[in-house]
Amino acid sequence: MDSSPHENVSNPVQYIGALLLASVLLGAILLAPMDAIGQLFASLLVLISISWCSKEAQHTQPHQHFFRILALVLGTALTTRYLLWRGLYTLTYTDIFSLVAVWLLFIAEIYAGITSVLGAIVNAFPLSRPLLTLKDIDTERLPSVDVMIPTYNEDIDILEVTIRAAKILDYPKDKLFIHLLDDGGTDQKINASNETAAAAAKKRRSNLQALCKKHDIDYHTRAKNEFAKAGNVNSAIGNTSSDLIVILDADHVPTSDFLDRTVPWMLKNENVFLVQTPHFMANPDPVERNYFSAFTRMPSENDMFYGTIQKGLDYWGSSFFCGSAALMRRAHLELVGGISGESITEDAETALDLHKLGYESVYVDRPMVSGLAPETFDAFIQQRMRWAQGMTQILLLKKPFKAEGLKWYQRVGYMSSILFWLFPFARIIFLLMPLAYLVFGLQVYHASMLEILAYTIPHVVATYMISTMLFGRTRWPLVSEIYEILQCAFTLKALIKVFVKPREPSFVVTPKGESLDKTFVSPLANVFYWLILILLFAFFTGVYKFISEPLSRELTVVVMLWNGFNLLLLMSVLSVLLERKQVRSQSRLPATNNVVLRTQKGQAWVGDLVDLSIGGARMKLKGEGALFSDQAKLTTWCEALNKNVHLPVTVLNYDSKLSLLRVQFSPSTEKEHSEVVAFALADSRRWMSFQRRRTRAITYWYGAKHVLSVGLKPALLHFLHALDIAGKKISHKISSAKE
Amino acid sequence: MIKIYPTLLLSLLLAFTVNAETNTYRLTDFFAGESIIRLEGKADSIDFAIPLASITDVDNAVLTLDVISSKALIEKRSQLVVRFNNATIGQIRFDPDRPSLISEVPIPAKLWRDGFNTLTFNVSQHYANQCVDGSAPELWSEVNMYNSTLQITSSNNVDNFTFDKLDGFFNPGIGGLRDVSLITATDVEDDITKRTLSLVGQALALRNQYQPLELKHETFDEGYVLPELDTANEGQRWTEESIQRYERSAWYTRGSSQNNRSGNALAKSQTQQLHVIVGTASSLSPVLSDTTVNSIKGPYLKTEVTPSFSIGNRVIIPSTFRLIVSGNTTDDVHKAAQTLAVMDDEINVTSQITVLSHSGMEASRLQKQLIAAPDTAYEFQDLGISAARFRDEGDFSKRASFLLPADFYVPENASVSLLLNFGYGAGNGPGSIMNVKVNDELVHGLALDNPNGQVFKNYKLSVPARYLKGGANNIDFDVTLRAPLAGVACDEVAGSHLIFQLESTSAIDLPDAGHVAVQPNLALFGETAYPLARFESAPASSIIIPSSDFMDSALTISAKLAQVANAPLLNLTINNMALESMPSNAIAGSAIILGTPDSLSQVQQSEFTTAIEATKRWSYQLQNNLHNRVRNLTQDRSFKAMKVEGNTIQESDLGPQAIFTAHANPESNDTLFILAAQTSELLNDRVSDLVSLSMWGQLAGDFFAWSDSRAPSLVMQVNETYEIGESDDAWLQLRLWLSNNPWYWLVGFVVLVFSISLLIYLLLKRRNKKVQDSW
Repeated sequence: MDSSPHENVSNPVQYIGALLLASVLLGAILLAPMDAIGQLFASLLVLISISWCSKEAQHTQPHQHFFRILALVLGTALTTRYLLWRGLYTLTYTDIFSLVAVWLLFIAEIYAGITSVLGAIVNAFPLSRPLLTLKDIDTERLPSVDVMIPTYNEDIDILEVTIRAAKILDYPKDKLFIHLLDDGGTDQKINASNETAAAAAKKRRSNLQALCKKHDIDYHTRAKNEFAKAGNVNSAIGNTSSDLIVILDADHVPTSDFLDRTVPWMLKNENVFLVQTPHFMANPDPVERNYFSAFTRMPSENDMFYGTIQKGLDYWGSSFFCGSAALMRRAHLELVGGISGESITEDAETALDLHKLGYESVYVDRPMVSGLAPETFDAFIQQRMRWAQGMTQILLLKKPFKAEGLKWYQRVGYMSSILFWLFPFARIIFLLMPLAYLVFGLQVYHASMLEILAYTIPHVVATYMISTMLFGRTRWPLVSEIYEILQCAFTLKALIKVFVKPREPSFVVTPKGESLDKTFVSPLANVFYWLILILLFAFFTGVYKFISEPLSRELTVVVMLWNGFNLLLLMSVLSVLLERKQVRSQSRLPATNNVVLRTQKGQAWVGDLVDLSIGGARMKLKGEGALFSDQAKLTTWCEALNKNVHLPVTVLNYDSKLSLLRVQFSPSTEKEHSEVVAFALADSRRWMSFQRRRTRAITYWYGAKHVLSVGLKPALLHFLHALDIAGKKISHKISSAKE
Repeated sequence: MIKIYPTLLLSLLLAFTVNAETNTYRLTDFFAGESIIRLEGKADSIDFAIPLASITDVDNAVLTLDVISSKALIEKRSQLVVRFNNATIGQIRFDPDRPSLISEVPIPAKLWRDGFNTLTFNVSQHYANQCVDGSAPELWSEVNMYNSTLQITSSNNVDNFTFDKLDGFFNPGIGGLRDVSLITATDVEDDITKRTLSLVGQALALRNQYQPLELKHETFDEGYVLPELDTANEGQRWTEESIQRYERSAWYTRGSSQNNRSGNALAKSQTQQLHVIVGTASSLSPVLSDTTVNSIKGPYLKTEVTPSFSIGNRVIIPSTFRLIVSGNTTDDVHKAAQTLAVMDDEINVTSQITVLSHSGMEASRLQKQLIAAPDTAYEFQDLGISAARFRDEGDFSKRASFLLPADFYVPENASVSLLLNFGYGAGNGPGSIMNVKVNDELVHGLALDNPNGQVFKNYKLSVPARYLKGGANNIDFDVTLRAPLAGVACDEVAGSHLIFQLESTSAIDLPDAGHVAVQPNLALFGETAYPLARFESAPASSIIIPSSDFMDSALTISAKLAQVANAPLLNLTINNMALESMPSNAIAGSAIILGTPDSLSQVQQSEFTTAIEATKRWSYQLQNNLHNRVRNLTQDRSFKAMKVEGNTIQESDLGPQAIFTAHANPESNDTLFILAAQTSELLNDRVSDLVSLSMWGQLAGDFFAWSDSRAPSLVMQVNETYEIGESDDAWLQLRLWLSNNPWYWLVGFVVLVFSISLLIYLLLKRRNKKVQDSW
C-alpha cells in the first residue's frame, strides 16, 4: 500500500472534496446521540483498533504510514466525540461557582483536544530526508559562510571549545569566517554607571579580543545592547558579507561535518532560507539528572521535538529556526531586516517572517551540534519561561493563525508549536479541579459512571495510545506530565504577564555551565510543597466524602483517582527539586573507539573506550597487567580530523578487576587542545549512535512503571533531607546550650 | 311496535328485592405481599386495608386466622391482638404446646365503614418474663394469609339511586361490581358501537380504579315476546295493566340476568345487578318511559331503579339499577358518555343530568392530567402524596407514587432532584435510620443520630433520572426508629417519644425528557396502555374486531386500558369490520386486532416473526439454545429482550389458550397488537383472565400466551425492537434508534474513518512524493 497508491492520485481536488464530505459525515456520526452502553461498546472496538493500528504503524511494518494515519483518525474521532458529548450533555451547573468551574475544566479540555488534533496533523507523516554531502561538489561553487557565535556572559572556557570546534569545520578555509559576537563587552556595558560592572565588561572585552586573536577569528561588539541576541546578530550581519550564516550559541559545539551536511540543501534549492539541525545536549537537564538518573538510557526532553515533531513540521514546510545549530541564507535574512526582535523567541519569529514570504525551511535530523542543558532547576525554569513567553508573544503580535502568505498547513504547524506553550493554564486546572468536587462539593463533571467509562476513559486511553505511537521512542510515558507540572506554576505567571502586556518581556540569557558542588533543595520547591499539601487535603476530604456520602461514591472514587494521579505526579517531581551534586564538570557520554595507550616508558595497552567527555575518558583495557605510570599518550582515530591523534592523558584510576581505566586529558599545546575537542566533540556519528541507543521503542507499561517507580523515592528523599536539616539545627542548639 | 303504557303508581311503589349475600375472601385478596407474613421481635404489627363499597352494608363478618407461633414463646406474655379500625376485636394467646392454631374472630358490623377499613395484626412475643432480647430469633409468629379468610354477609343499601351512588357500585371494594352489561338497541347506530360504548365502559371502569371490570354488550329488539305465565294459577294471565308493568321493568335483561358471569370472588358480592342502556332517544324508546324519552333534550344521563315485575308471588323481572346514557343524536350520546367519564359523582345528588356543553374534553389533555410532566417541579401534595408521620419504635415505610409519561426518555446523565422536608424528634437511639429508594434502587441513607433531633428543609438528593421509568414510579422512604439504650441490663427505654415526619411540601424536580419508547413491549402496554394512550399527543387508535361476537372482549380491553392510563381514551375506537375486506390503512396507528386463527388469516403477517393464522408460525424458544441455556443457568425469570432466530410453521389450533402478540405496524411507525383465541367465546374467557389483577401485571415481552388467570404459559421477546415517539423530536428518536442498533453507528463510523484515512494517506503520499522529487 505504501508504494503504489500515490500514482493514482491524479486529481487531488476530487480527493480533498471527498475528504471534506467524509469528514462532515463523520462529524455528523460523532454528533449523533447514542446511549452510553452503545458508546461503550463502540469505544472498546475503537480502542482495540487503535492498538492494532499502532502495532502496524511501527517503522518496520510495510504499511506503516497508512496505519499511522488510521490510528490518528480513530484517536481524533474519539477525542472529537468526547468533546461534543461534554459540550452537549455535561455542562450542567447549579450556581455561579459551579458554572465557572465547569467551564474552566471544559475550556482546558478543549485546549487539550485542539493541541492533540493539531499534533496529530503535524506528526502524521514525518519527513525523512537523505543525508547529503559536499564531497562531490566543486569547491569553487561553494558559498562563503560566516559562523557567528553570540555571547553575553558565558565563560571563556566554554567559548574557546566552541571556537576550536568551529575552526575544524570541514569546509574550505577561504570560505569560512568565524565571528565572536560579544554582547557582554559593548560600549554601553563598558561605560556603565556601575564601576564594578563596567570594569568586568572591559576585562571581558579584552579577554575575548585576546581569545579571538589567538584563534585568528573576528571579534565583534556594538555600542548598545539593543534587541538582545537578535540585535547582536543583526549588528554582525551588517558587518559581514558571506552568503550563508551559521549561528551557534556560545555552548553549542559543532561537529566537523556540520557544513558538509547542511550546505548542500542550500545549494539544491535557492528558496531555502534555513537548514536547522537538532540541539544535542551533552549533559542532562535537572529533570534528567535529578529524577531519572537515566540520561544515557532514556530519551532526552528535546528528543521528542527534534526527533519527531521537527520532522513532522518539515513535512509541512514549517520547521522553524531554533536559535542555534542552524544555517541561514543572508540574502533572505536581509529581506526581513535580519533576525526578528519583536518577541523574545527571535528564532521562531524570524522563521515565521520568512515562511510568510514563501521561503522554505529544511530540517536535517542529524545531531551535529552539542550544547549544554541548564544545570539547575532554576535555570531550566528561566529558559522555559522565556520560550513560553516568546511563543505567546508571537501568537499575540504576529497572529500566525491568520498570517498572510502562510499555507494552511504552515499555520497549523505554527499554532501547534505555539499553543503547546499555553499548557500551564490547562495543567493547573487539571491539577486543582478535583478540589472543586472533593473540597467544595461542586459537581463539575455531570456524568454517570457508565458515561465516564464510555466517553472519558476511552478518550484518555486513546490519547495516551496515540501519544505512545507518535512519540513512544522519543518520550517515555508520563514524562510530559512531569515536565508540564514542573513548569506550570512558574510559566503560568509569566504567560499572564504576556497576555496583559505582550511587549513587556525581555530576553534573559539562560545560565549554562553552573557547577553543583553540593546537594540542595531548589529554592523553587515551596510551591510544590503547597500543591502537595492541598492535594493531600483533597485526598482526605475525598475519603471522608466516600464514607459519609454513599450516594455519590462512584463519582467520589473517580475524582479521587484523578486527584491521586495528580498527587503521584507531584510527589514525583519532588525529586527534581532535590538538586544533586554533580561530580564531573563535563558529562561523559558513551563512546566505542579503539584506543592505544602508551606510557612514557614505551609500554602500550590496547583497549576500547567506554565513555568520553572533553575532560577525560574511561576505557576497558585488553590483556593482563597493571599500569604504573601516571602519564600516558592515548592514540586513536579522530574522524573529525581524518587522522590518528595522540592525546596526553593523566591516569586517574585503574580497576584491575574490571580492567577499567579512567584518564583525564592533559593537553599542553594548542594543537593538543584542538585535537581533544576534535576527538571528543566533533564527531557527529558518536552523537547519532548515542541518540539511537536511548530512543529505543519500549512498551507503554514499561515506561510508565519505570517513571512512577522512580517517582516514589523523592518524597522519602525530601523527608530525609528535612530530617537532616532539623537534626543539624537541634545538635547545633544542644552544642550551643552546652557551651 | 309495543306501545308504552302510562306508568302506574303501584308499580313504582313496588319495592325491589334486597338480597343479603354471603361471600368468603382470602386475606391475600387484600394484601399484595407474600402469602405468609412473619411477625418478629418483642412487638410487631402489620396493617392492611379492606375496602368496602359505599353501597354495601355488612351484616355479619367473621375473620378466620391460620396462625403458627414459635414454641419458645411463653403463654402469658405472648399474644396476637387483632384490631379492626383500631378497635380490638380479638386476642389470641400463643400456646407453646399448640403452636398451630386456627381462630375465628367476629368483626362487629358497626365497626365497618365505607372505603378502606384497617385490619391490624399486633403481636407481643416473649420467651421469658425478664430480659428478653428483642432481636432473638425465636421471637416469631406467622399468619398464613392465603388460608386465612374473611366471611362477609352483606346487602345493598341503595334505596334512592342517584349519581352520587354510582361510584359505590363501581368501586374496588367489597360490594363493587366486577361486570356490567351495556345494552343497546339491536340496530344501533355505528357511531355508538364504534366509539361511545367503549367510552361508557371506560367511564365505569375508571370508577373501579384497579379492579377489573368486564363488559358485555347486549341488545334488545323492538319487539318482545311476553313470558309465559302459569295459566293454571288463577290471576296469572296477561292483562293490559300487567303488560304496562312489564314494559316498565327491565324486561330486556331477562335473558342475561340468569347468565351472570362471575370473574372472581369479589364479583359474587353483587346483590343487585346494574346495567347501562346506551343509545339515542329514538333507539331507546322501546325500553324507556315516555316521560324519560320526552325529557331527553340533548346529551342525557339518568340513574333509575326499574321496578320489578311480578305476578302473584312470582318475580318474573327483578327490580334493577339502570344507568341511561342517551341523547337526541349519536353525538349527544357520545357527549353524555364523555361527561360520564369525567364527572365527579359525589356532587351530583340527582338522578338526571342534561349536558349543555363542555370544554377541555380533548383526548391529549385528559390523558396527561394525572401524569407528572417532565421539566417540572412538583410538591408531593401536588401529586396526591400525603405527609407521613411515624411514632414509636419500629420500622415504617412511606411510599410516594406518581405517574410519568409512558414514553419518558432521558439521557444517561440526566438527574432528578428530590427536595425533602422532613425531621425527627429528640431521643433517637442507635439504629435509627432513613433509607430512600427510587423504584427499589437504594439512592440515599441517613442515620437519624442527632440526640436532639433535626429538621431538614429542602434536603437535596440528586438521583440519576435513569432510575425513573415510564408509567408508575415509587419513591420509598423506609424509616426505622429505635429507642436509645438504657445502659442498664434488662432495662429498656420506651419508644413512645420517637417521632419522624415527612412533609407533603417535599418536592421532586423532574428533568426535561423526550417522548420515545422502545417497542414492542407488552410490559409497558400493561402498565400504561402505551402506545394507545400517550402523554404528548393522542393519535387515533383502534381495536379491530372481525364480528360483533368479539365486542365484549374489545369493550373489556378498552376499559382496562382506561384504568391503566388513568384517563378515558377518547380517541380509541372499536372497528367492527370483516378482516378480508379491511383496507390496509385501517390498522394505521396503534391497533389491536382481535380474532381467531381463521379470521386472522386475512391479516398480512408475513413480516412478523410469529404469525397466528390457520397455519401458524411459531418462534420456539428452543430454537435459540444459547438463550435458554443462559436463562436456565442464571435462573433468569425476567423476559428481557431476546431475539429468537428460527421459527416453525405448523398446522394446529390454539386449544384453550389465547395469544397476545405485538409487532411493528407495517402500515405506520407504530405498534400492531394481535389478540387471538380459537373461538370468540374462548377469547372472551381469556380476556377476562387477562384483565384480572394477577395476569395483567405479568404482561411482558411481545409474545404472551395464557390459558387461565393464574400465570402465562409462555412469555417471549421475539421481535426486533424499534422506537416510536413524537415526530417533532427526531433527535431523541435517533438517539434511541442508535442505542438499540449500535452496529449501524459503528459500521458508518468504520466506513467513514477508513475512507478518511485512505484519502488522507493518498494525499499525504502525494505531497511526500512531491517533496522528494524536489530533492
